[in-house]
Amino acid sequence: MKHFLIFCATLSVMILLSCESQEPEPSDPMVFKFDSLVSESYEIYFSSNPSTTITAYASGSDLSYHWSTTAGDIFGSGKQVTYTSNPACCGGYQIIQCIVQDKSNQYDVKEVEIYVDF
Amino acid sequence: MLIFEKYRMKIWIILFISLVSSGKVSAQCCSPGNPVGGTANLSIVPKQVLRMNTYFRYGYADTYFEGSSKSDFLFVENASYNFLGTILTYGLLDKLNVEVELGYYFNLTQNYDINATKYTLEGFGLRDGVISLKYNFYKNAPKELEFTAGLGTRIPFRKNPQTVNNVELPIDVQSSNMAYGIVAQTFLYKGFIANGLHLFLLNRYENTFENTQEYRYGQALYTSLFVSKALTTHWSLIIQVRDEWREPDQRFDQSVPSSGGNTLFVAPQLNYNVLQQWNISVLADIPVFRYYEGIQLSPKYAFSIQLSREFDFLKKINSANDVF
Repeated sequence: MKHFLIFCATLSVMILLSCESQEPEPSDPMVFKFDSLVSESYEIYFSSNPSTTITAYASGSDLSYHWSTTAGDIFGSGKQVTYTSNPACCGGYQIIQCIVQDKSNQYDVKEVEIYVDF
Repeated sequence: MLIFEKYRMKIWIILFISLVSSGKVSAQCCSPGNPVGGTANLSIVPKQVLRMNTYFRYGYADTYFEGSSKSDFLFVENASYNFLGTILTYGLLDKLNVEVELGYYFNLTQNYDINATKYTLEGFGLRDGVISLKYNFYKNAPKELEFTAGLGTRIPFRKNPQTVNNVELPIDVQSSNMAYGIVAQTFLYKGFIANGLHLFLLNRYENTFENTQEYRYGQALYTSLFVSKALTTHWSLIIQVRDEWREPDQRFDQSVPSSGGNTLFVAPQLNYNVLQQWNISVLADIPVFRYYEGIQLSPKYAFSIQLSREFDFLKKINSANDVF
């Protein structure tokens, strides 16, 4: 009887621990994370596709998106912008940088490189 | 001598108005340029005299040039700016002046048409200030000959690029060069009072240092020749021929293609003097020749209107003493 009780108690503890560990991690959309920076195209040619759309994929609360480039022009704002560049003055490889920041001032930086030509 | 003295004030008024309205319209890849109203080499004012020159300027560009020929290249559909500037010159000594140049862009706008989609980028804000000392090295009133030179520094009011909605604006619509620099000027005057003619030769050299973006504007040299003729007691006509040369810019220590070149302007100007105190002037800036490295958007025209006056503090003090 004593052994049986010990066995039941051990089994109960194991079951309880087992159930706890099987619970899924709570997904928190408020947790800051800058997943990726993606361009529709990584080569733009003035004669055929002179611009490209760049999107920042990030999660967190009250995100702000800050955009800059080594050369060229960025239109729009927020998580998605359009990039173009005058190949006459600013061709070759240009870097577009995006800084995503949340309300608690956590931030992350990502860059894409776009080739610009006629 | 007396004739020179009689016309002296008018000469300076005409001169500084001309200079104030002269505008630098540098061609870069996408910009109509930056007005330098009045920057150039004004001569000096007497001790304890303050000269104020305020001007408004509008500039427009919509055509690309390759070398000296029009190009069918189209990136920026058109570009324009509205600028308000002022130049304050004060006589520290009879031959030594201090001069401050300040200005504000209400807008620096570029309109794009890319694959039939319209975009606009617009910057605004303070232009870099310039503070200079000017010294009158030579003055011979009977011969109607004068030479003045000045040296100053460019002071940026901004060290980082302007952003709008958290997006950094391109360099062509930034109101500031974001860098310190050196400005040197010379001024040569020769009068022919018997014929009612005045000639002015002005040179201005600018060397801007590298900014925080590792961008450096090319050295620039502006040479202007002015001929002025008094039409009536109040009206004067001035014709200015101005050459603007600029070496290519540098980004990350490499020459920027499609930057630098030469533009020749003709600028007719009409001036009206009110009560021998105020001067109102209008000016048009018309490019007549260009040669650019690569393909660049070229200035098409610019208009300026300006108001100027001198304030003699020494005279006021003397007048006050006379009262008591």
